[in-house]
Amino acid sequence: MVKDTSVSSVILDIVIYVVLILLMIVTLYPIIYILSVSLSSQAAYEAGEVVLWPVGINLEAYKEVLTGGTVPMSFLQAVINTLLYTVISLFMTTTLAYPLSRSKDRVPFHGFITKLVVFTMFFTAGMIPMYLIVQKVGLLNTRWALIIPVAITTYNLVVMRSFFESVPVELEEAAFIDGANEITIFAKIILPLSKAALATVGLFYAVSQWNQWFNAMLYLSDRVSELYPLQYIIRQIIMENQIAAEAAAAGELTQVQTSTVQLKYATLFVSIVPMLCVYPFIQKYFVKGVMVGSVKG
Amino acid sequence: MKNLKRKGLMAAALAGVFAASTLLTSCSSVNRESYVNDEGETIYTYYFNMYTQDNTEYKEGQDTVFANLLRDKFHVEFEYERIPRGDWETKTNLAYATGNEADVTTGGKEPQYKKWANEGYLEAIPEEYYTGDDAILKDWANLWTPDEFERVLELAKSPDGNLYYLPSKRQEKVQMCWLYRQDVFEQLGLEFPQTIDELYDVCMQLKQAYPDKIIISSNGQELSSLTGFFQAYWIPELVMTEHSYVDPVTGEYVPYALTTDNAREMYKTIKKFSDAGLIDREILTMDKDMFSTRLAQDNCFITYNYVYNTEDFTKKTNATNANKGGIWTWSGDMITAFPEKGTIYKRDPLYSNWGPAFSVGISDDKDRYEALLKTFNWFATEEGQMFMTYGVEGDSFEYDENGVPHILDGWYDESDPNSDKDTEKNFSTEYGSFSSQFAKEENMFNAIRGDVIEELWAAYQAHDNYYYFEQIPMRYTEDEQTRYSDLEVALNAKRNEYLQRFFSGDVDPNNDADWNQYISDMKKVGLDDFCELQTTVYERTQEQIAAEENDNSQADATDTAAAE
Repeated sequence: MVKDTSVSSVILDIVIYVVLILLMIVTLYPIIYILSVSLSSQAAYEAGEVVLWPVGINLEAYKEVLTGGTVPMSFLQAVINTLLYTVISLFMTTTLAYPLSRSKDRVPFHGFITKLVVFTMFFTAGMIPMYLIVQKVGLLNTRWALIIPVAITTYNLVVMRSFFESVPVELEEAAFIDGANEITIFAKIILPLSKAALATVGLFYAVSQWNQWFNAMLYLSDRVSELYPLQYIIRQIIMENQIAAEAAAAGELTQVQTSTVQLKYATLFVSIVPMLCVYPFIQKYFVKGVMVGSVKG
Repeated sequence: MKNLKRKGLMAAALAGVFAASTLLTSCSSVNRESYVNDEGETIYTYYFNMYTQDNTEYKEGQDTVFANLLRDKFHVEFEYERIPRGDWETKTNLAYATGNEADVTTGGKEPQYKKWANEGYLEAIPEEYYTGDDAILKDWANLWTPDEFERVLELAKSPDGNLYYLPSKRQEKVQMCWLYRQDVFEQLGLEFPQTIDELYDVCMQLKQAYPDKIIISSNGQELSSLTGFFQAYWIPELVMTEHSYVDPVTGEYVPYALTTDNAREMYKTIKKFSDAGLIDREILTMDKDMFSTRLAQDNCFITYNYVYNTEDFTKKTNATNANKGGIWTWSGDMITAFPEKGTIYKRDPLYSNWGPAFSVGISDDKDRYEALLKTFNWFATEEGQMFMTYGVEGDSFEYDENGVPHILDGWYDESDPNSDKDTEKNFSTEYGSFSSQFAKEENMFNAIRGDVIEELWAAYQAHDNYYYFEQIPMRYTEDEQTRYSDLEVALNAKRNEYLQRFFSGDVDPNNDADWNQYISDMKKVGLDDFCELQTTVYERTQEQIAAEENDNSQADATDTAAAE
């Protein structure tokens, strides 16, 4: 490869590097600041001494987060939900996307199911009918209420279908001739060829479940508070100040207990860690996977 | 092709099985309104919706001190649905909309209760239950004087003249005032100002002495950070949520406060303070944590806040340097922009409005309904207040030689700043009870806030021409409530946008074109409709109340004549 050493090219490189460095700072600074505040003393934070690095190192917040019952339990629940959701969603998405990617002659109700799927991209039943369905099928106050109703995301289904469409039909025909049935072809030929798409869609699913709090708010009550996922607990911690202000304005005599900034930030940081750890390992698939379906031909 | 047909049949059959199983699963219901215990007594059970606002834990089950007391005394059992306060409105709305509502709902605000009442979700509380000497709810009614109670009913009733929830007594008469750094004022020989011009002069002197510091800040965020300025311009403190008021001097009804000439003058003043660097640039988004940093860094010398917060602010001010000697104190003077007309202070309402309310249909079983009302009435009795506030005598509290109750060591005492809820025993984890209902026992209230509130009240009363805004009864029909909500959302969005722009200097309230643009934009999102709606409802409610008072007078006259 010949390196372009012209002035315009060098200037362009500099601009690109500067922009990327700025982007990196904008992305990293909040994370570093959260970590630094969570590791600093309350006095240092209030005195405005924490700008980038921790001041007056203090691990009390992490001790409280990790030894208190709520955060570790909700962390565990979030991990279980994310793993289950990712596996179930991938299973359901691929098993629906694969037939839809194939010829109408091989799949009954192909057109009807396709229309049904597309319909859900534009119209949703809304919160109340959804709640009633979840209640009527007995999912309320169970972990499954956070997983089953949202198991298939249409966007991810379309991505998956596009990828499957790019796999040559000749491969399947060869397998047919060798005696493989539909399930064997799907499991032993199509899926192994779809790792990039699986990693990408799996990551989409995992992140969406990891960040999920709204369904937990709707479908779980305090009777099963041990099932609350981490993001729901974080939301409650974040809202403490607002709630305390509202309570005082409403004339409530009972003081609302609020967490320290260190505790809030330590909890936030703990919630970021798993995704920070997962991303690097699937990045190579992710880059390939997000391009799925973008270029045809 | 044959293969495809077989697959199609299989798919259709599987879909049918799924649909059938879904339907079968849904065909179950539980009736749990009462049961008969081993002694042959009927115990009434109720779902109880309440909110939680921090990580308070509750002892669960029906074998707690509180549950046993209610069962023995009133034959009632509560099964709680505890909802975090931030989610309470969404979840409770959802519960009503899906038919999953609790029998008892607590935690709402008056507009919500009135809305649910309009929509037919709530049971009207019959008047005979709270009027007369033998009324089931007489102790609850007696929390107020008869005149006060009459006013409470005027305000709390719905358009159909019925009461749909039980208000709680608001024990503070006043609690909001200006707070300032006493040590700094003394050092500079300053007196706390009484007019907006004096406030500007004082702030400028503070700025000269501390040019790098912020002078005025607040932890109220968008809704209440500027309320001290609102009142200086005769605009109610709660205008961001209540919008309308009646001028306490002229009696004029103003349907929308933040587009009046007074509002414009207020915005001009805020800009003047802002341009001079006297007001915190982040005041509209400042939360409690950020405000703590302001205090610790001496970046606030004046704020408008709760009178009892001085000790906490002093502690936070000195948190980074124990030798700083910062002292926060409160002022018994409010600030006015119209000294010749008078000064506004905030008189707290007669009641708070978080319920309880009872779901429609609860009166179908009269005994069950009355058992519930008797229980709630007990919360308002001296015995009930003592239990809810102090717990069990000999266990959690004892009386001293003067007959004053004191929380015992090892128990969380909310009147003691050094008491720790996390490490000490408290009523929710030990007894399974919740915080006081309707009112806190008077000794505890006084221990927590009573003295300073009386001092502030006395300070305000010592002034001539000090006024406060009365609450306005507004009884919306269901259609009006919907219109109100729609218009309010649109107006709030536009108002907040301009509040930010006035504050940032993007638009200038001194400039006629900018101000007219603001009014024009507000009109585009429904200001005129809102004003018309508010005026209609206000006038009709006034007529309704006058008619009710007339009916009551006639009924009293008839009773008196019959007695004679």
